[in-house]
Amino acid sequence: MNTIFDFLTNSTASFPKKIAIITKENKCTYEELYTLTNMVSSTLSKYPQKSVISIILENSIDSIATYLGILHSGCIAHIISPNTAVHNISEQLNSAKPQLIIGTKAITDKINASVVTMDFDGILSDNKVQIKRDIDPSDIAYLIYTSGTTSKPKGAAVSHANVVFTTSNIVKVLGYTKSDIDILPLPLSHSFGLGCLHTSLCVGSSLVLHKNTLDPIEIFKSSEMYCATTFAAVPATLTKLLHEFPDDLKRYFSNMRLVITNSTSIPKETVSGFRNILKKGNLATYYGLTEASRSTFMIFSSYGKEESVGTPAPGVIIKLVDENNQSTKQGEIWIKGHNVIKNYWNDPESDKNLKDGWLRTGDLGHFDDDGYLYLRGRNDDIINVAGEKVSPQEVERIVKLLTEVEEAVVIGTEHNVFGQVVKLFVKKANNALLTKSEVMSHCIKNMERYKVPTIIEFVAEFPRTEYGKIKRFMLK
Amino acid sequence: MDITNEIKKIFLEVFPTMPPQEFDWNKLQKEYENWDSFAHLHILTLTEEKFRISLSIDESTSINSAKKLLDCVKSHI
Repeated sequence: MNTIFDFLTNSTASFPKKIAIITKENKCTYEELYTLTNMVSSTLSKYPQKSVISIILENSIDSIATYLGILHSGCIAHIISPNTAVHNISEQLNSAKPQLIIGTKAITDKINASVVTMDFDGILSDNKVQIKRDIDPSDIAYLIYTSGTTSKPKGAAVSHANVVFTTSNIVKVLGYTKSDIDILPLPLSHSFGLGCLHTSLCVGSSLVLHKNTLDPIEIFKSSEMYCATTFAAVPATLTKLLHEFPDDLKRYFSNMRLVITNSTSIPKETVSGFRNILKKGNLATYYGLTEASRSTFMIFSSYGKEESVGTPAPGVIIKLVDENNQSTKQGEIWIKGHNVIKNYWNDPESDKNLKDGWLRTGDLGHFDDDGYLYLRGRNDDIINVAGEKVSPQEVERIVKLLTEVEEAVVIGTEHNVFGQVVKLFVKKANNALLTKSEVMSHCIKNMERYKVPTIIEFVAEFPRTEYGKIKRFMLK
Repeated sequence: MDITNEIKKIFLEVFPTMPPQEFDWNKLQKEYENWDSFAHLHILTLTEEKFRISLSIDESTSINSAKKLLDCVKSHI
C-alpha cells in the first residue's frame, strides 16, 4: 500500500459488504464508503492536483468520505476542528490558502471566508469530473495546524508515505486485525483520532465513531452492542471513566483486548486501574507529535515502567540532545524516521526545527537503562493540556484585548486529570474593577476550551530582569 | 446575590452558543452538545470564583445539571 486511499481500496476489495463505519445516526459498508468517497473525489477533481481543500466537519461518515475524497482527487486536506476559535481558523486559512472550504453552513458563515465554501450535500450534487490521477507516496496528504512556540499556528504537512509507515507500525505493534471493533470518541481533526481511522481502514476492521464529546453512557452502550475489542481515548478521559464509572468499566471493558491512549502524563493510578479492569487485554500509549506521529509505543503489560512512553517505534530513531546539539542522556528529544514530515506548510521559520531528517521536538526526556523513554516537560513555554498544545503567547494576546488588563502572563500548572492546565497572572490597569470571572468569560468566548485559564491570579507587579523582561520561571 | 440568576449566567457563559431560551435547570450533562471535561472545569471554576466557595471532588463529579449545581451552591451559602 502506497497511499491512504489504498487502505480503503484494499479493504473494499476484500470485505465489500462488511460494516466500515458506525455512528449514532447511521452506518456504512466498505463498498458504500468507497462509492461515497468516489462521488466526492469526482466533484473535487476539477481542482488542480495538490490544491488545498479545507474541511471543518464534526465526526461523521460524511466527514470521512470528504477527507478520503479529497485525497483520492489528488488534493491536500487541510483539517480544522469545528471547535477552533474563529481568529485561529482565519490564521490557518491565511497560511494554507485553500481553493475551497467544506463545512456546515453554520460554520462557514461564522468564519466569513473569502474563498468558495460548500457543505457536504453541495459536494454531492455538484458537477462531476472523473479524472484519474497518480498520487505519489511523497505527496502531501493533509495539513493539521498545531500551536507553535510563538502564537502563530504551524501547519504540519503530512505525506501519504508518513501515514503508510505510521499505520504499518500501529498495526504491527498493537496487533490490530480485521476482526477488531474499534470505539473512537476522538476528533478526526486531531492526529490521534485520524491515526485510529487510518488503522481501521488499513486492516478492514469496523470503526464505531462517536461525536467529539465524551458521553460515557453512549460509549458503554456501543461497547456492549458491538462487542468492541479496542478503545482509544486521551488520558484525561480514561482517568474520568475510572473515577466516575468504575463499575461500568468493569462490566463493559473487561473483555477488550486494547485500550490505547497518548502521551501526556498518565497518572500511575490510571495505568494500574486499567490493568485491573482489562482482564484479557492491555493498556498502551504512544509518544508522538502531528509532525512525527507514533514515534514510540508503550504496552503496559509488565510492572515498573508506568511513567514511560515506551521504546522507539520500528524504524524510528530517537536521540536526546543538549543545548550544544550533542547527544546526551537527558535532553531535547530529536526524532528521525519515515513518520517525520519533510516540511511545515509555508513556514520557513518552523522548518528550522527540521534538519537532516531530524525533528527537534522541544520536548525533554531521558532513557532508562532498558531503553525506555520518559518525558520531562518542554524546553519552551508550550503548555500541554490533555494532549493539546497551548501557546502562552496566544492566550496572553487574547487576555490583553481587555482594556482593563495592563499585563498578562500565562504558564502551565500541573493538574491531576489533564496533566497540565493554563494558569493566568494578570496585572490590572490603574483603577480597573475587573473580576476573575469577567476575565474567564472573555476567554471562554474567544478561545478554544482547552486554552481557557482555569486558575487566575491578580498581581500587583511581575518579577522582571534588569532589562524589564518578565521572569516567567519565577511564576512557576 | 441572586444565586439562581448567577448560576444561569455561568451556564450561558460556558455555553455561549446556547440560546438563553434553551436554558433548562433539569437538562443533563449528556444532553448538552459541548459539556465536556473542559466545560465542566470552567463551570466549577466560575462557580467557585463567583460564590467564593470550594467544591469537593465528590461534589464536582456529582454535578450533571444546572439544578445540581444550584443545590450544591446553596448548601455552601
